[in-house]
Amino acid sequence: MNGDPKPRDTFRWRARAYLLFGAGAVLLVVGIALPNPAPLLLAVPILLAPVAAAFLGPRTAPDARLEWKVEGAGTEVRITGTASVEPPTDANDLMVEFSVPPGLEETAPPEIERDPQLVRFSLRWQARDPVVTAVPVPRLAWRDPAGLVERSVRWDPPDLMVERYPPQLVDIGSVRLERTIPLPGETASRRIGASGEFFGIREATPTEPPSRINWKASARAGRLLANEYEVERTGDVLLLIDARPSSLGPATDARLLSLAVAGAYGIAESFLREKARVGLGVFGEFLQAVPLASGKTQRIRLRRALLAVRLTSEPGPSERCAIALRRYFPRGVTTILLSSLADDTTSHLVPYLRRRGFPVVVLSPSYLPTLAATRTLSDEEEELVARFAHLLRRHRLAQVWRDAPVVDWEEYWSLDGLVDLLSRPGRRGRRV
Amino acid sequence: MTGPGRWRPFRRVLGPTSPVLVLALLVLAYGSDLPLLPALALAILGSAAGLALRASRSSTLYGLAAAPVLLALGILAATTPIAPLPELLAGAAGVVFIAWLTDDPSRPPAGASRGALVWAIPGLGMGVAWASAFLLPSSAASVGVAGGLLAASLLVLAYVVARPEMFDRDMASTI
Repeated sequence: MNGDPKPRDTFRWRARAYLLFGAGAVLLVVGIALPNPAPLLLAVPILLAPVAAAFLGPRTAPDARLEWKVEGAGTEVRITGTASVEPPTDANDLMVEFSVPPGLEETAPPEIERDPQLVRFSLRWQARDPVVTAVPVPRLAWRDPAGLVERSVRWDPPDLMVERYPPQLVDIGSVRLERTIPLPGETASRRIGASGEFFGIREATPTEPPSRINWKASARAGRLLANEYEVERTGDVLLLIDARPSSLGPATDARLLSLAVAGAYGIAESFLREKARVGLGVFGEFLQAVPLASGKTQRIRLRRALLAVRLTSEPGPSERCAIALRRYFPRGVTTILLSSLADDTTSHLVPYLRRRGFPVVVLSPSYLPTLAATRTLSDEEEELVARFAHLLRRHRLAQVWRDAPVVDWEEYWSLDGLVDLLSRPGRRGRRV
Repeated sequence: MTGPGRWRPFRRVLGPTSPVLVLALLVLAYGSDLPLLPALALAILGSAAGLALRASRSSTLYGLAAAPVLLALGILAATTPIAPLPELLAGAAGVVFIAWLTDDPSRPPAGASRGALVWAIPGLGMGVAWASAFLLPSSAASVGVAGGLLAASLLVLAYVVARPEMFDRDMASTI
């Protein structure tokens, strides 16, 4: 609980209460006008019921607690949890409402069980494509049995993320990446000590313990140098997401962007596990960057930035992206560009990046499966359109291949191609 | 989404209070000044429409379930003759209607017993109003007393509706 002040909508009359108030007022007028006491006597319970309901239940916004977790694997997403309020309240009067986040589909209605003071729930969703999204906090409120009044609760539930990306990305972190710093030991290590493996040499600090000084190297250099032990750090990688609109239309663009975000999240997670430095750039109209870093804090930074990625309405020029990247990232950092390559604007980004010194590997979520999903033509016409679309896609990928290797991400739940490409040193983003 | 259908189970919709509501409407119709057949038809139509809307899984239709019952109750009460027993029946029908609201098929069962205060307090209020009207010698006086009570309660209600925060009790600043 964060101890926030009382929510503004702590208590509210529901529409049914207003219906009763209105009906009671009409009955009052009718009873006086006729004159007849029967409508007046009918109006008494109708007018008093909402007030009686308001005095039921908690008199102030109760503190609520939510414990929930994500289960399932692959496309299956199952969310289970419990909700309770303090002071204990009859769970039969606690209303829980869930909303399905974008990118997920409900496969079964929510299962809600009520213990005396505890609401247990189980949600079954399905991820059509790889997706990374935050689960919206359910709405919890106390409601009287007649549905006349409602009182919201105070709570600060823990964040819950649904992360579904191709399983191959789990191992992609083992790929050796290029380093972009002259002395790897310049960067503060997270695992330094005698138990680690030798990683590099750096300038010794005045308080350096003697055991960490590399005496031979110090003798050769004429100044104190210390050993750096950090076997996990393999290098640097920059994930660049092209969030500009394309000719495919907002719906397809949004779906491909969601795929790109899921892919970027999976790649970042894997490399961060291996203690590599990971940076993120999101280019829409302007560049938004998360500089290179490693560790848990960087994981949170990246997650927050990726969840905030949205398609922009105004596309920025490709050159602007390449120039802006140099302000945040050093030359030579392995760059994985996630772009649909749907039209010339998006394709032109690659040569600009190369010219600015970024060796690029393009991971391109294909729009062809999305076209197949929206069938409006006859079979023959559909086949013809599909062939043309394939040819156009291959032509565009071939054009981009002149500047950088491209992975065509057509099977959304598999990224073998990217892992293979990055694992082959000669095929990795071309040096400039 | 694999929805469970457009309608709720009939047994769940019917509940323990629905027969009582239908009975109250029929008795009120029987005692009203309307011709018997139209009065009974109105009672049956009102209750049937209310139950049908309640059975719907559409939240919009479901929210309207109380309206036809209220309409039927209002018309029948307005045509009730001025006599102690029919007046009591009209008030009792209002209490049954509130109890029917607590017996919500979209909520966990036994709502009528959980929300007993929601219909018991109005029932008590109605009983006091009826008794005071019945004990007075003139029907015109009973109208005046009941009208005065209702006007006062309406004023209180207007005040309460405008200030929902008065139902919130501030947290103590110290333990």
